Amino acid sequence: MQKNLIQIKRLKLGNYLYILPALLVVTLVMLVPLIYTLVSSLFKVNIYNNQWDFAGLKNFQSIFSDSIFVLSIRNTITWTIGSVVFQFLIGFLIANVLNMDCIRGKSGLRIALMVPWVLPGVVSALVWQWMYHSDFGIINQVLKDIGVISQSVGWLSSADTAMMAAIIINVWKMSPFVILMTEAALKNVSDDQKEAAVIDGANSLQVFWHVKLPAIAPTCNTIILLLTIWTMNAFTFIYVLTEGGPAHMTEILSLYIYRTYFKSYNLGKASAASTVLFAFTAIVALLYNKFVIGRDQER
Amino acid sequence: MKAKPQKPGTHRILPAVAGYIILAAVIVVALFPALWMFISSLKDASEIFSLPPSFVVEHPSFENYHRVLFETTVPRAFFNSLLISSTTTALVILIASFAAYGFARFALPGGKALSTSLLFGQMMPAVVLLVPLFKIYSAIGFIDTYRVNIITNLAVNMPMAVLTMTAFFRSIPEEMDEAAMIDGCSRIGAMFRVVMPNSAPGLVTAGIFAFLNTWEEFMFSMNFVNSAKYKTLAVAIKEFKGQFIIDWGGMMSAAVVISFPVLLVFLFCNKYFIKGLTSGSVKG
Amino acid sequence: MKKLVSLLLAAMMLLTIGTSLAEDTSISADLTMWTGTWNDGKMEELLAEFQKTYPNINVTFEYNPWDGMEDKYLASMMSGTMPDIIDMAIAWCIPYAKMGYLINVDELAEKHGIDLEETYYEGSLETGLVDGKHYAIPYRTEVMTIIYNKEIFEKAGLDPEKAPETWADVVEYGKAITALGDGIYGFGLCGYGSGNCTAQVYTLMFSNGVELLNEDQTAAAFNTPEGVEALQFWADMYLKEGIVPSSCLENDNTTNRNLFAEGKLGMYMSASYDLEAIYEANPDIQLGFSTVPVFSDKYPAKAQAGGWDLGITTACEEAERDAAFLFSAWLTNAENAVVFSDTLSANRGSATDPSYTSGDLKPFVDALEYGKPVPGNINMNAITDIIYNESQAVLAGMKDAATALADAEAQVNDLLAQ
Repeated sequence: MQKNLIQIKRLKLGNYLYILPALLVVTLVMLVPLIYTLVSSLFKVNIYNNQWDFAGLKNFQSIFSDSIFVLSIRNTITWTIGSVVFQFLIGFLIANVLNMDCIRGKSGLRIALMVPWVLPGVVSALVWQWMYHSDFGIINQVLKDIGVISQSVGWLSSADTAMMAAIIINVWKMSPFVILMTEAALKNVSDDQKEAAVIDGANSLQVFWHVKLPAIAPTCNTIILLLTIWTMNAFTFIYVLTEGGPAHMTEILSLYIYRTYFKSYNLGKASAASTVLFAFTAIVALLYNKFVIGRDQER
Repeated sequence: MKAKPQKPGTHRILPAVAGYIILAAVIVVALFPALWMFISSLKDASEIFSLPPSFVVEHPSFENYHRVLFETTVPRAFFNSLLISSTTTALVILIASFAAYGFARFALPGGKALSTSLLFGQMMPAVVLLVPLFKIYSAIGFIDTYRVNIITNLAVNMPMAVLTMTAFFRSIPEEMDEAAMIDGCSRIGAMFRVVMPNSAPGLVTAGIFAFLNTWEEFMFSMNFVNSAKYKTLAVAIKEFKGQFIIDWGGMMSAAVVISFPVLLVFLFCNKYFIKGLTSGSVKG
Repeated sequence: MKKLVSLLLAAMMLLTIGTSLAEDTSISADLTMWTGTWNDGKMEELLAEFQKTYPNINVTFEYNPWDGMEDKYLASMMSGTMPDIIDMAIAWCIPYAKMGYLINVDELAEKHGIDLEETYYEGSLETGLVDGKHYAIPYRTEVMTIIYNKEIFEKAGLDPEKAPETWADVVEYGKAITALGDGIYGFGLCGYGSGNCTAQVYTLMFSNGVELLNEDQTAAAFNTPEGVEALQFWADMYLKEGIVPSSCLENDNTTNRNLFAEGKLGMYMSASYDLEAIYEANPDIQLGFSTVPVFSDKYPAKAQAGGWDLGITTACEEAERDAAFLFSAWLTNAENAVVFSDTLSANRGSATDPSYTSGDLKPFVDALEYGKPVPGNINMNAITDIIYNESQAVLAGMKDAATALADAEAQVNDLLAQ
């Protein structure tokens, strides 16, 4: 009781002014549009005369009976899981190699490894598109030269390979981020603990398993969840590479939403699909908040 | 006395060699697209479309660069991107500093909920915002301006910056603020003179994230800006494909132009940046 | 102070009038015009010329790339950010007019002494005609034709003066050309870019007597045996005959034009707007032209007609509409439309222009009579997107043409029913 009173006394409304500008910006540019989206997903909107008719859940019925929407959900799952698994595994492996004591020249290596992450996404997409090109692409040429394939493959244009080709670029781009974060965490593992384990007779594999891994696990969780959310919401790569083609085979949810509004001008349906994407993201964010942030704060 | 790590002996050479081989292979893959981009940019149209594609440029020429720099909207777009990215970064740092200070130093009822909701903001799918923002900006006449890109990127980058910097500000002992205030500083003075300088790696980390994100931002810029006057580089380079005379060589030259500044920023700040990350600040 | 300023202004105006009697300073306006990136550079020159007569009319140009232009135009119009003058592909005019974004220009034309019917080609004017009223001023018209490389024809043992007359000829010639090897292919098929890709599909359909929509535009009409035949034939050039580059699903028209200019394609399909870029990339190229081939003698040759019109939007203030009309009419007059259109002017008076009566452009002028525009429907953008994706599915080997068109028909009917 006493404590509460003191807190109230010390509380000055003026202190909220510190956080006000940031909250204002985020509210105006994120919260208001989000509410707009949630509300408009319940309406059938005639955008030519801006007439809004309440439609209940009709827009949701309409997207879930749309085979392209269902395909886009499937694509989103493939794209997200495929990207995140390889981004993390490759990044994690390289970070551990880079962290070995016997490796010299780390800062130079680190900078070289970071280049894919730093290059603007549009540029990466365009360069890879050119490298994948079925007639003039260097990838086909190299694979033909070493005998892996006998005929050029339309990596981005055939239904079987387009998604894989897009995932490869995403892995190439984001693995460096995993390296950077994981290696930073590895450096923070205390030397004392490692040495104590060595003195106790642990080999390097055991040190890794019993000392390093538990120490960096929270960082790894954070990385995986961040990657999941970024990948799920990605737009630029696929838009620039294939615009969702060929024949919707790489159309992830974000592109479905874009196309539904900017090609078919169907605001209600686009908003319903947006709501689904937001729900997906919110679930991941909730899990993140519960399992990662919560645990970090317990420490 | 601490036990020194073992000196590299014969049994240490094997892992080192394996490590170098793995790293070398990965670096080749990491750098190859940038290299191929540069090689392609030096080729003229007939070489670009010659078979088989070759690593050797027979007649290297800077003709593509000349065209990109003097005959296209790329220089203007470069200026626009630089202006938008640096303004956004500066504003993000300033506004996020205040917010982070507020969260780190004051017991604000509801503060926890607010900072958690910022976390959700960071996870907001950009495409969900696209359509409503487009309508809102149209209604208030923001379409086709500098401010439309600045305010959007400001908001998109704010949550991450606030959370990163809050973590840093918390690690600075409050006694330091108090000492500064006893010396006659105001609270805000203490924030600027004591807390912020001591959190430099955090500021740089947040700043780099904001700069890189804004520099490469594509979707909002593509939809919110029409005229070449305000167009950003990421959009300008994508539009090369739709233009009538430009070819892959020209596009690749433009790609080199757009990548250069970010590589420079990263090289310049990478020490601070890694320090910022190492301090475990980018947790959410 | 205010008085002084207005006095000064009046004095300045007197001075301007004094210097040039041909000038008309009575009309002043500050206009915005949207046009394509390909007109960048040209517009300022044209404006400077225009301002010699109307020094007080200023126009700010905003250039949009073809890529995504249609989406952006409509999205901007719907949210109320419109310029005063808008440069539109012909297919967009009627929808924009029906949605109420364009103003009727008949009165303005009469006021400024321009007889629309007499000045512009009837076919072009019709692209902006709603209920007998004109909502657009045409300036450019073009029809898809086959462009071929005579040198490659010769190398492949073909007669460089004998253009393909039927689609079967295209395949036959294409095989001979592809046999040359060295990465040279017979025909440039567009599998990427919704507008470019469907321009080819629609042209094949039109030349097989297919209509896209029924007469009152309430349902799809393309799912007929002829429609299926046309789409399958188009895709088979890649899937079966192997006469198109393996990258066709990645190639839009610009890529095909580049490949053609570099001697990697024997034939491709485009219109006269590509000529300048081809000659710029390869000044020595020997070009041959042919009007679009036929399928059989059952149906006449038909190709997708394109073109561009100018419209004055409802966002243009009453007081500035005269200026907007004067500038639009000036851009589309017999002399300027030749420059502005880059290709073929929609102004009857341009027909006698020397560049049209001889040389490379002649075949394109001849081709105009084979032109057939796509229906002017609000949903045409979405319909084209549907047919584009279904065509890609056929090219990617996921569906046959019959399934694809049946699927497309269902989607289009669904869309039109809304």
